[in-house]
Amino acid sequence: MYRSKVFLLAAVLIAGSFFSNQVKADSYKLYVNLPLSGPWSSFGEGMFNSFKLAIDQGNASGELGNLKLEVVRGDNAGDSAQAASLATKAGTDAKVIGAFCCWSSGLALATHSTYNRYGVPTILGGSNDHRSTRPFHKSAVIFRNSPYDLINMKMLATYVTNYANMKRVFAIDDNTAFSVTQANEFTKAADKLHGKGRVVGRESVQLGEKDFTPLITKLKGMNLDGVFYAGHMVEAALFRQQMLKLGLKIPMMSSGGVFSNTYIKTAGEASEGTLASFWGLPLDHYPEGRGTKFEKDYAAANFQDPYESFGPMANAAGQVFVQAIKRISSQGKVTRKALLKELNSGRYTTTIGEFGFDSNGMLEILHIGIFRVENAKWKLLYRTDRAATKFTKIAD
Amino acid sequence: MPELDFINDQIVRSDTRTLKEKAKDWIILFCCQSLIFGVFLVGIALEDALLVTGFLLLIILVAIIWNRRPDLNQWSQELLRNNRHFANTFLVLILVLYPFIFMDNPYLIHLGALAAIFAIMALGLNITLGFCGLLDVGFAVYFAAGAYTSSQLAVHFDVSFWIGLPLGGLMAALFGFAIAWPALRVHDHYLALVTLGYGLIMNLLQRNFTFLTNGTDGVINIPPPAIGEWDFIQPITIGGIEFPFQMNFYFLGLILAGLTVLISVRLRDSNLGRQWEAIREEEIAAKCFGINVPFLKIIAFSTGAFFGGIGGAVFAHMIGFVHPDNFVLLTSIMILAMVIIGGMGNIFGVVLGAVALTLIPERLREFEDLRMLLFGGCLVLIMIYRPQGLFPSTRRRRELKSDRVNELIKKSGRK
Amino acid sequence: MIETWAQQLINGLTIGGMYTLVAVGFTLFFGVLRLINFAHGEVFMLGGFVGLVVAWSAEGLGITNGIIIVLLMFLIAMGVCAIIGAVMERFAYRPVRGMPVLIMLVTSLAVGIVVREAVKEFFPEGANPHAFFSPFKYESINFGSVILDYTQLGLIISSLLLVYGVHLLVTKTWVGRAMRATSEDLDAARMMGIESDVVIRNTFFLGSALGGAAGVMNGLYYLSIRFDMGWVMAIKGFTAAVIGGLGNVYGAMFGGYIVAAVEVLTVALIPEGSRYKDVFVFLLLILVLVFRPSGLLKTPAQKMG
Repeated sequence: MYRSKVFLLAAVLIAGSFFSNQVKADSYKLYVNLPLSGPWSSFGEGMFNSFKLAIDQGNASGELGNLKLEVVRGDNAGDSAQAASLATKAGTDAKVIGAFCCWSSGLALATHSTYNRYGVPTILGGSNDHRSTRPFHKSAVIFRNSPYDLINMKMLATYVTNYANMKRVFAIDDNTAFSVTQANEFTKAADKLHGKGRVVGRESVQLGEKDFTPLITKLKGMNLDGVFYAGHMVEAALFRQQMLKLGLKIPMMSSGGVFSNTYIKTAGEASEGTLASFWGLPLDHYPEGRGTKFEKDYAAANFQDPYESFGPMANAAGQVFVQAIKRISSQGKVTRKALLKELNSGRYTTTIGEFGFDSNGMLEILHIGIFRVENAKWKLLYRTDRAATKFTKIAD
Repeated sequence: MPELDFINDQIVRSDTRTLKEKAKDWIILFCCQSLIFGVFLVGIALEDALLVTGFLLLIILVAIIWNRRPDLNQWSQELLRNNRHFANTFLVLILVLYPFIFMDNPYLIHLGALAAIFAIMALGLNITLGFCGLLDVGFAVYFAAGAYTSSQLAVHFDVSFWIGLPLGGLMAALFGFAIAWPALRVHDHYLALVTLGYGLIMNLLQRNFTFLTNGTDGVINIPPPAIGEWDFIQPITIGGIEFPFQMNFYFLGLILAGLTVLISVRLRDSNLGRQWEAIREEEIAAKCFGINVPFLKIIAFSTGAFFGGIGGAVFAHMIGFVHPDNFVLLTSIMILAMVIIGGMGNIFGVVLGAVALTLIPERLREFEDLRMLLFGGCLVLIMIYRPQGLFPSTRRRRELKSDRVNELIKKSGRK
Repeated sequence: MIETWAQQLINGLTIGGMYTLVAVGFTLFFGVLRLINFAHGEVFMLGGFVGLVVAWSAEGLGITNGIIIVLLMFLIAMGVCAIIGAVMERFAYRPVRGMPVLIMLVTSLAVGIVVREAVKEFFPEGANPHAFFSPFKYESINFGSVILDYTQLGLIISSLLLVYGVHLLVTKTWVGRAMRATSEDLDAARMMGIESDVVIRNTFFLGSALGGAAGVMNGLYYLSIRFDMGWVMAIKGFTAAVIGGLGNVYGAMFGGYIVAAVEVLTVALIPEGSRYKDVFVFLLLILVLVFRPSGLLKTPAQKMG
């Protein structure tokens, strides 16, 4: 008799705690799917921290009422297979109402169908392939707060052919989805602008390779005006250093995989003069001082790692989620469907400016810049708008 | 009769127990298995790093105690051997019930399906490595062959999964056949290096032969398997209850893994299996007895590869995405580790190894960056302290044990 | 044209020198232990990191002479790596000694994973590449448009010297004789009163020290190091060792230069060839293993030495 009473009590307690959980369970998860370990963890950590900063600020500000947002730290280690597995994990968790993904094209390509399958509204951060979003892919749930490589590369090609006036350029990719697409699109854009022949050749290297001297020696005999290295920063730094060692003194162009202070630190003085076409501006170029405010907030939050190149955009993605969820919670139930609808129509005020997403899920504003390393800093030379036709000169 | 111990694997003794004894055994077995499965369920549902640590420590502790108590070990083996039908039935029942228990957490069902796929592949490697004793450090090649064949056929030529599946297996067998020829000439380390090199080359070719594999873009938008109008990502609704679609894949994997287990058992007990075993134990002696060693080795490679391909094909259609990153050396090592940790040659052990190595890294995810470090550390410890695996086949156990004992004797200088 | 080829020759010799140093380790370990120590690549990586720490602390101590710093780097990195190699042997490989090939293989792979991940986790900013210290970064000797870096020169010469040193050690000293005896026949050597444990430990000292030296050279030449550079070097290193014949020191050197030559020639001769250079290297590995498993150089009379 006594024992059964204890059981009853225990059952009531368990049920009670369960229900009390249910009552205050107005918390929702945002699933982050980024390379937080592995070779690209510096980028991933920076994006994660910036994203989390926005969510934390949203939670702390009280705008969300009794609703709490929780950021789930999903680490794909830069590996497509793991990214796909995490996307499934996000999709199958009913508490997850949104996702922030993926840093690079390969990861985005690996996950977009899964997010679509589960209807998880997803914002792509980092540098992602055009094939992951509408109109190139049918996925209705993917939004991007970064441009396609198409636009980015068009800008670089315009710069190379019209502004820097290079006649013979060599393109090198490092055999990742991100890099191959960029090299391809760069070649296409350059061909379109000036007919075939500007890009005189193409080679692929492997990630993790350290010695490029045979390749550079080969390039030396080709009478080039510039090299476009469409890869990641570790190899890019080695490539640049070996270019100098072997006396190949021509400009090296690069893109989102290289645009980072870590690159400058690794390559040392060899980094001077490296060009990069990158989606994003120095923080003081963003409207109403929001960029600098982000910088201050980030410093105040005492994160272990720097925010890296994609930090401000990740922060903006977090702000979009906070504002969108605030709006739908005031209108009714917070669901994936409602969030999707809101993201499709709403406008948001973020670190990088005020924008909404167009019918293809692409953000309306774009800032693309051409940067060059000068005195161990990335210096903005030109910036352009979404069409990437008109250049504004900022510095020489 | 310890000398004839290995025969017991195959011979079912005549049952002389009374009904009462039988019932007692069954009840004990039922309780034990339920307990093990319950612990397993708790483990799989844990989400907190601290709890996972505690759980793993607990399991290790139990394993150590178990190892120290030969009487317990003996007793449990006796029990299992005498009631193998009951134990097997119970196991199948649990496997069938598993997804229904986790209906509200489809990710765990997804993991279950993944574990089934890896079990198929580990069983394939077990044929090459466990039965015939041929080292293969490039098993990811066959995984890739199956995955690419079936997915590319489906994406470009609209070939149904049910045709792509065997074709994927056959393509993989072809790849196994291709490496079997050069592999005939080498042994031990050299064989390991040949297969390792094969794996590395094939991974590079997957990245670079864009016209075959889509290169580093990977094959995207692979359709799920379909039967008529209905495909596997549409959930089935019975009596108003919607079952998550992961269950479709889970049962597909379970059925295929079950078939693989059956085939493995039949192969092991067949004439072929005996000849493989002879080659594994002593190649020259086998040759002297008139066994066609090259032919049998080629068969072993191709058969193992075939199952690798089958696993690959199911994987491709379940995940919907195939990328060279899936087929790197680490994948090969993982599959190898499944076979070794489970116990080379022991079918049940290999399946268990596959399940453990699919689920544990997923649990270790709670440790984030330390995941790989822990995995590597555990692997070293297992190699040192239990190289024969969790459930070694009887013969292998004796081999490794005697080696180790000899070594210990040598070291301490005793006789 | 001739200048391009001269430059490619220099490139090849540099790469080959580095492969040689790593390959010698593989060859020695295989000689005495019949073990392909995949973790050797991680020892190489550790050598680079130890060198980096030495450079940092030298800066802290106010040592400004570049040559002294480089010498210190080599000495300390070689010492630390020797000890780490011996520790690995003692705690990971000795317990599995004499077990089937597969167990030893998986153990060495797992040890490699542990070392790599430990550096990534516990070295400050371990996941990022680190700029390496070098006193003569871009200084070089120029012959026309052919450029020979000081570091390259040093690397080519010192790799030859080190291999020669190892050769002397193996052939002319007691330590070497014991090693050779052990590699010929472990049991017979033991019966002659050679302590196999000591010999194996010495071998790990020697091989790992060379790996550490290669790690420092790698840093000096490429000017940056990263936690995951070991594995790539390991596969090249054992390929070189196999091509030259496992257990043969000169063979390792020969193999190192062959691998380098294959890489350079693939890039230089085949358009868009750089993506296939590793394919050719591994193809060569398989061909050698299958058709001449004792290596291109090895004859029974000159095992180890």
